[in-house]
Amino acid sequence: MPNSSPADHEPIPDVRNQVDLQIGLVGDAQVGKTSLMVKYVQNIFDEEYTQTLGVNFLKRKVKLHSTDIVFSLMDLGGQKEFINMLPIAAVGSSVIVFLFDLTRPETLNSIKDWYRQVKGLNDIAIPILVGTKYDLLINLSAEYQEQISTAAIDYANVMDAPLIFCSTAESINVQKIFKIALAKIFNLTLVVPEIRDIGDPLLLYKELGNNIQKVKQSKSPQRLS
Amino acid sequence: MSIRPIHQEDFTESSFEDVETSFVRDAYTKFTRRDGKQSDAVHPPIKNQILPTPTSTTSSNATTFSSHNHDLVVTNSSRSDIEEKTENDEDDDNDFFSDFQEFRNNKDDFDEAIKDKYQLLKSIPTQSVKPNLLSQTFEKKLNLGSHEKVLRQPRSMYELQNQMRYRSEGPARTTQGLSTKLKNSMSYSALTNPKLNNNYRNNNIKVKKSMPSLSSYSPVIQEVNDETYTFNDLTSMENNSGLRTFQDNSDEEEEDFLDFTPEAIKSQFLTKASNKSVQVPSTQYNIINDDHYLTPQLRDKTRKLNRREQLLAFNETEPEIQSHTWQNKHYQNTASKIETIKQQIDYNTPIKHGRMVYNAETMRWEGNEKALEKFQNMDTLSNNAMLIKGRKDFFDNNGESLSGKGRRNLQNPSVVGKMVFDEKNLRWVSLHENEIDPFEGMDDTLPTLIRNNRNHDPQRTSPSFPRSYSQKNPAREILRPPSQELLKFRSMGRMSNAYSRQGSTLSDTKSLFQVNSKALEGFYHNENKWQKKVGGWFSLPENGIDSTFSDIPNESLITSDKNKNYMYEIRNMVLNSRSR
Repeated sequence: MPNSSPADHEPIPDVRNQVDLQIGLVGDAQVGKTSLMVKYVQNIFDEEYTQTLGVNFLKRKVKLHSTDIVFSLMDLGGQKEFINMLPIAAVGSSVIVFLFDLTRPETLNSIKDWYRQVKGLNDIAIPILVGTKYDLLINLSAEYQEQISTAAIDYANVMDAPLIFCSTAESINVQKIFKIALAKIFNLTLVVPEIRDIGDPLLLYKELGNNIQKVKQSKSPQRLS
Repeated sequence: MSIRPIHQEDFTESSFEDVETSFVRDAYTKFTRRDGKQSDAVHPPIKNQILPTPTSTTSSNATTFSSHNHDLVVTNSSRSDIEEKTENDEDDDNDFFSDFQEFRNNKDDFDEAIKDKYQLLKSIPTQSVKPNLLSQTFEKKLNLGSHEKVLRQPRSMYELQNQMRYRSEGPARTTQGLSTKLKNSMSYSALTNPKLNNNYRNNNIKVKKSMPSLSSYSPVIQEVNDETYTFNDLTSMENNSGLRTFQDNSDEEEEDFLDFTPEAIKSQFLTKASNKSVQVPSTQYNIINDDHYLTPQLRDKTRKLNRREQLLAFNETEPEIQSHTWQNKHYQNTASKIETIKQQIDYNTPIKHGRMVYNAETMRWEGNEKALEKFQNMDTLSNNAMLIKGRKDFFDNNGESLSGKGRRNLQNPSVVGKMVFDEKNLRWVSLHENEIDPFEGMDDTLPTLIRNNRNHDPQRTSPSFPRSYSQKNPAREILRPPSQELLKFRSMGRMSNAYSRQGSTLSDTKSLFQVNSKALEGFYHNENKWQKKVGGWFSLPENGIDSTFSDIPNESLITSDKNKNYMYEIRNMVLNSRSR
C-alpha cells in the first residue's frame, strides 16, 4: 500500500514527498505484460518477443507539485515455472493488473486461476482486467469481438475490476490503465470518459473496483450495458 | 500545461452571455497556430472562423471562466512550438493529472474547463433531440424573417449596435471581418446574416449536436448557432476521410462517442437554463440519422467495426511528437532501466505463503478456491465455444492486405508467413505465384503395397515398392520368398528377433507373409539400425552372397567376445581409410 516519506535532502531546499506504489502484472505467457510495462515506462514498443525469466521490474516517477509518485511495476513471467515467484509481484502491490490476449480467449479463461492465486496472496489489492492487442482484435469477426468483449465484461464484473482494452503497439489506453490504477488507489475521480461500445477499445472503470469489500458481499453481479 | 488542439465542436457556446470584448485577437491567432496542422487537415474551410470560447464577464468567481483563467490561456497559447517541446517533466505530469477531477482546480486549465462544459452541452441533446424536426423548425423560423427579433431581442444598446453593423456589411464581408465580429457573438452574426444561414440550410442539417443555450436568453437561436458550427465540422471531416476523425491527444477526442457521466462535470456549469433545455419530446428523436452523434446507448449495433485507420482516434500520444527526442528524454529521466529478479530457488521447491501453498508438481498455488466460486455463475468461455474468425470485409478489398506484409502476420490472420489461406478451396497457398513445386514430376501414386496387397503374392507386389530396390540390403529381401541366402542373415542382431517373431516357421510360406504393418515398421527400424552399424562392413556382390560370407564359419563367432577376428577386420578398414 502507498506510503509516503520525505525524500533525501537535496541542494534544492524543496522538500518532496514520495509515494511508492507497487503494481503487479500477471497473465499468461505472451499476452504482453512486459510490452505494456516497457511502453508505459520507456515509451518503447518492440515487436520481438522476449521471454521474461522471472520478474521484470521497472519504475516510473510521476511528479505532481511537491510530490513524486513512483510506480514500481512488477511483471511476472507467464510461464508456469515462474509462478512460484508470484508473491514477488502480488504481495505488496496496491494494484494487480490481470492481462489477457484479446485474440486468444484461453488467456481470458485462465484469468480465473490467476485471480484465485493472486487473491489468495493479496486480497487487498485492487484488480484491473486488461485485454491486450486490441489492434489485432479489430481484424477478427464481429461475432468474435462481441463474444470476447461480453465475456471480458462478465469477468470484470465478477472480479469487480475495471476493464480496459489496450494496444501497446498503437498506444491505445496504455496511460489510462495507470491513471485508473491511481484513481482507484486514492479514490480519486477520473474524468476520462468511458468507452462502452463493443468493437471499440473498452474502458469501463467508474462502477468497477471502487470497493474491494463490496466484492465479497455482492453475490450476483450484473452485467454492464 | 497542455493546450489541446482546437476542436470546432468545442466552441459551440459563445453567445450565452455577453462576451468580453477585450479578448485579444493575437492570442487567438497564436492559439490556433499551435495545432495548425490538424486544423488545416480537418477543417480547412472554416479554420479562420473559429474563436475559442471567450471569457464570460458575467460568470461567477466559482467558474473556471474567470478572468484569471483567461489570462492563463493567453499566456499559454502564446508559447511557440519550441517552447512547448521543451516543457519539463512537471508540465507533462500535470497533464497526466489533468484527468483527475481533484487536481483540476489546482491546475486552472482553461481548456479542461471548456471540455467539461462541452461535455455537458453535448451529452443531453444527443439523447433527446430530433435533428430533422429541429432543423425544419429552424428553417421555418429563419424564413419568418421579421420574427427574428422576437426570438432574441437585443438586450442592450451595445448589442443592438453590433447587430446594425453586421447588417450593413452584408455579403461583402470577408472572412477576417467575420471573425472579428464573431468574437462578440457568433450565433448572433450567423442568424443575422441570411447568406451565411443559407449555406447551412443547404447542408441539410440533420443532426442536433449540442445542447441549447446555457443562457436564459433565446434558446432557439442558440441551437441554430451550434449547428452552424458543428455541422460544418462534421461535413469537412466526412469529406476528408469518411471516418470518425479525432485528434491525437486522446482523452478529449474520445468524448464524441463515449458515454458521459454528469458527476464528472463541475456543478457550476449546471445552470437552471441548461436543465430546462433538455425538455424536448422523445417523439422527435431519430437515433440512426447520424451515428456520429449518437450516444453509445442509442447507437445502432450494426455500425461498422473499427478499421485500422480508425485506431488513431484512440491513440494516446501524437505520433509526430513521439518521435521527438524531448519526449524520449523525458521518459529516460523518469524511467528506470528494466531489471529482472531471477529465480532464487528451484521451482520444484514447495513454498507456503499465508494461506496459499505452492504445489511444485502442478506448478500452481493452491488454496483460496472460494475465489473461483464467483466465476461459476458466469457464462464462461468454455460453455460458449468461441470461433475465432477473420473479418470478412478484410478480404473484400484484400489487394493490400494480402500482398502487403503487416506489422505482424496476425494482422491479417489468413496470412501466415508467405502463405495465405484460400478460403474457397480450404488450403494454404503461397503468396508468390511462381512458387517452385519440389514434387513436380513425381508420380502421384503412392505405394499401396502393405495394406492392400497383404494377402497377395508378395513377389508381384514388391516391384511397386521402389525402396526395396534402392539399396542392396539383405533385410529388404524379406518381402521376397524366403531363400536359403536370406536365412543366413536372419540371426543378425535384433532384426533376427523381429524376424523370427513373425516368421518363426519360415518353411510355412503363408504364415511368413502375414505380417502386419507394425511389424514391418519394426523391420525397417531395425534394418536401418543395422545398416548403420554393419552396412559398410560387407559388400554384397550381385550374383550372391555365398562368396563373401563363405569364410565366416558361424554367426555366433562374429559376435562372440572370445573371437576377436572382427577386430582385425576393423583395423584393416581403418588403415585402408587412412591410406586413402
